[in-house]
Amino acid sequence: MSGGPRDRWQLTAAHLRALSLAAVLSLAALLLQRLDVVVLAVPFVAVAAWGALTRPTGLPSTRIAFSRLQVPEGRNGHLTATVGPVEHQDSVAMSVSSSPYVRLRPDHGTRVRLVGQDSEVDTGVAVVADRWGTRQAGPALVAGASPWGAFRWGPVPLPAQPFTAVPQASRFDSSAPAPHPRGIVGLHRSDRRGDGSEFATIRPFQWGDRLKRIHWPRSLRTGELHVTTTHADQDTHVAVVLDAHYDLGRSEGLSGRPSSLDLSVRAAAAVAEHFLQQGDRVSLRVLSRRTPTTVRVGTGRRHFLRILQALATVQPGPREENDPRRLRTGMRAGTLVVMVSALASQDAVLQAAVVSRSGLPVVIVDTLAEQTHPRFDDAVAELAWRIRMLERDQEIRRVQGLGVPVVPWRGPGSLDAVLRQLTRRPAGGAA
Amino acid sequence: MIDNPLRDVTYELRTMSRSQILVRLCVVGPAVLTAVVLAVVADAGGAAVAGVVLAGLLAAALPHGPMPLVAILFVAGSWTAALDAVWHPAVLVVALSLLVMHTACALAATVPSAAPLPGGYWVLHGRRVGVVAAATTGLWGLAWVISGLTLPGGPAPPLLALTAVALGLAAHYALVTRRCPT
Repeated sequence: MSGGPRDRWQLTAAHLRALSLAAVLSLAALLLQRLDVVVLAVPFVAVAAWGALTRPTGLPSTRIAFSRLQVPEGRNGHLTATVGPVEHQDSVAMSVSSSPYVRLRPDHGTRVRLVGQDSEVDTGVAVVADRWGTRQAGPALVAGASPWGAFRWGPVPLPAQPFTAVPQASRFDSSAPAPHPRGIVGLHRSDRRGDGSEFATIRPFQWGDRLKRIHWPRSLRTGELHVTTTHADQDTHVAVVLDAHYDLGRSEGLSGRPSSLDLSVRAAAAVAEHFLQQGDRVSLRVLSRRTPTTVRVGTGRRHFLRILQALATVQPGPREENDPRRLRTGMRAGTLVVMVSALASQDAVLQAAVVSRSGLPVVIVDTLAEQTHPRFDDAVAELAWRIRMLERDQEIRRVQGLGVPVVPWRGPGSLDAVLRQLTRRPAGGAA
Repeated sequence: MIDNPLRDVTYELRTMSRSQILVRLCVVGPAVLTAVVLAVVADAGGAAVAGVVLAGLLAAALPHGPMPLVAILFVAGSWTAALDAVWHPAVLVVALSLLVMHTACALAATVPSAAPLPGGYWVLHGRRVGVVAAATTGLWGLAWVISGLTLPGGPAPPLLALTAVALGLAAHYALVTRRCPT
């Protein structure tokens, strides 16, 4: 990578200084016939001569690379500039520009390395992704110097390296079972009896029952063989629906105040991770005009990474004409729908209501926390916000009236009570 | 957008790494030492001493441009003006101070001010400064010996020396302007 106007070795002010001082002091010594001034001139004559004799002759080759295509939020990758060897090149300096939601280590993204005579030198800066999304490391500038700083190469610009910062899942755990699981294998207690671990009842022995299920105390007491029965363990399909119509508040990165979309994305990642770890099938649907993403139902660690990738590309974009019937696509009976939303858009509430009416259990996770409320300098805007919040409260009450629970996102245990309530309800919904 | 040089300088000074602060101190320290030598040996006035310190501070703050040249010229001029004699052994201290000032300014200008410098950097430049300082000390000893002698020859030796300096500069010019493969 080369060819810019600065991609050559240039004389520096330091060398000109050494040269000028050598000349001026030598002349002064001669004209004034002062031996002490000769001594003052000697170091500059030596430095100027040394600098001139060690002028680099070739141009270093450069390349830049980022260590990872995907970086988890809060973790770092390394932006490395590799500079080829050039005779008499002393050092290489690298300076990386900062970009939004990216932190650099060391601070200010600058690094200096000494150069060997015959080996490439890697100059690296750690790049920490402070927020999920598509980010970029760089652009960077690299420069080289010869002995005594006499000649300088560059600074040569190197292009920015894009990477994806995948969201860090919030802490989330739930001890409640998924309501009405309809899968084949899993950890949730099924409505029907079968092979499982949770005790259901004791009943008289029937042909086909396993002998190890015989309940001997009851059998001896009654004089008739009885067996224990258990609830079958099943998995379920959890459809995570992310409402990305609006991003309220200002994101300050992972360590600062989150925006509503920050909370939503991290909550969606947490819910997906939790159910996938339990062996459930999880799908993702993003409601946004700009990034209307769908991740098909799947299981396992790789599927979780697919979901994280999809979440990392989310961009807010209001869309008011979503067809609720399309949202229902791919959701069979027994699917648990978890809608993660700031509920700032009426569309999300409407969609949740329609899906719930079709018979699927729906839970809305409200991510409009106190800390995500935008701050206004304008009194009119503040008033408009308060009016919208009143409308929002009314919409929430209405959707709750339709049987859709709305729970604020509080991390671990957020959904426990709601999921238990849904489990107690009779199953419904068409296949 | 118009660049504000003062803002650039203040930003650079605010974001300096520790090693860069040390480099800048290597500019100010020798200037202070020279001021002390001037005051003690040459009996220089307060204005000259303060001027030398101020020149050192300015060179440390602005090592990229012409300020270090101005500062070093000011120090050398102060020494020449303040001392009546043709020779004084303390000139070695001033010469080495100027060498360190020049080197530190060159280093400060070469690397980004916020960058921490690797340990080997100090060793490398310390070694180089040591070599030049040794040469300077040798010449200083030679000059001390010569200062006790009375050499004949009238204006011929200075003219010869002047020719040597001119030839040296011409050779250097030829070196630095030779074409570089691109």
